[in-house]
Amino acid sequence: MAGKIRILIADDHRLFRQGLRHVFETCEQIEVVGEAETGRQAVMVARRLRPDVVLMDINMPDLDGVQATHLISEINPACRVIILTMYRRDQYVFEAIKAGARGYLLKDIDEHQLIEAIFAVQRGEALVDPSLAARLLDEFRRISSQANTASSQEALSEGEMQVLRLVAQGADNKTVAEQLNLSERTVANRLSEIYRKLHVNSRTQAALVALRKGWAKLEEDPPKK
Amino acid sequence: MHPSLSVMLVLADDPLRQRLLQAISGIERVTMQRIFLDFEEMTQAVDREDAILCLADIHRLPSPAQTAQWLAAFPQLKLLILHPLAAEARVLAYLQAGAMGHLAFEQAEEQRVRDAVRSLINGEAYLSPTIAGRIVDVIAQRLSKSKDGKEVHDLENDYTLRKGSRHG
Repeated sequence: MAGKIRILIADDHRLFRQGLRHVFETCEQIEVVGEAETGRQAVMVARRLRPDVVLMDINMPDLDGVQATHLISEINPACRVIILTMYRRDQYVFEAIKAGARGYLLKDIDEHQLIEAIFAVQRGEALVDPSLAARLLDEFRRISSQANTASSQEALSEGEMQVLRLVAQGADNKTVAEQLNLSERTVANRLSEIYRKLHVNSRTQAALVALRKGWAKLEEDPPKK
Repeated sequence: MHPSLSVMLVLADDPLRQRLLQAISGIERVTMQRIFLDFEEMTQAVDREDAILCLADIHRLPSPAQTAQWLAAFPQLKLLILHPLAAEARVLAYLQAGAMGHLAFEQAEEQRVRDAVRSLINGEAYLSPTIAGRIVDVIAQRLSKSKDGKEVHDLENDYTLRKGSRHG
């Protein structure tokens, strides 16, 4: 029937594969088109049958589920892989995501949740077990924070950055001007631009931003007159 | 015996508030609820009541930046955002700010509210598949960028090390 989601089950335990088949027999919109009991077999079967979704164990003979996910994602980027594992380990989640997986679920999942997960990844969404999702959020925040830092840094020209570094080390406008061979008026103009771009109101605040973001270091020798 | 918990609610409309209260009443360990309509008023109470969980209507919260400052002041507090489905994009900013989960008004039936609250109480996050998809996209993009070796993420090293130990 057109519109069915075609599934490949990759797990080295036959009983588990049979259990999943049984679960999907009750769902008309899902069809199990193949099984694999090793990672290498999963890649071969996925290449041949081009399933929509692969349910992938991690710990399998000859090629683990993460490596198999990576290969399948390269062969068929449209194929969505859900890792279905017993491992409640943060690090596996990131390996799996890096390999191209769109889901990371634990084997104690409820069958209805698994079916919902299959529909979700087919729609381009993703699912991570709640016990591991907090770590995912942490990583998201870390990346977002770095991106914000990078964009702020890009907003400053090299000339402004030179002024800011010296200001962060305690130099006054006259000293900055001498160090950079600029007029004091130019230094003042660049400072105004720095305040505007960093959304600060004083040289102290600008210096703190520079130090916090690692653009300047206090321990460097202050400029000498 | 589990310690008792406080739940702070900031809600605009009565039907949703009632639904939430009903759902929360069925959760073990949640023994107390306080209802607020004003963010400032709730902030004063968070400290006084030693609250650890807040269910907040996104419209009642201040900006994500201010919310981040607020959450930083109460590290024990877990924030669950309630929002209209159409405002899901705004949720990302609040998750960046420190919220640990979210739930659309339209999907906030009792069982989902209970699941979400239990997740946060257990130190887990509660994300919809849509939001999880966007977060996974960001992380996958970042991890694939780190392949060039210029900015190798710590995870890369962990990955290599753990791969060795797994096969060794």
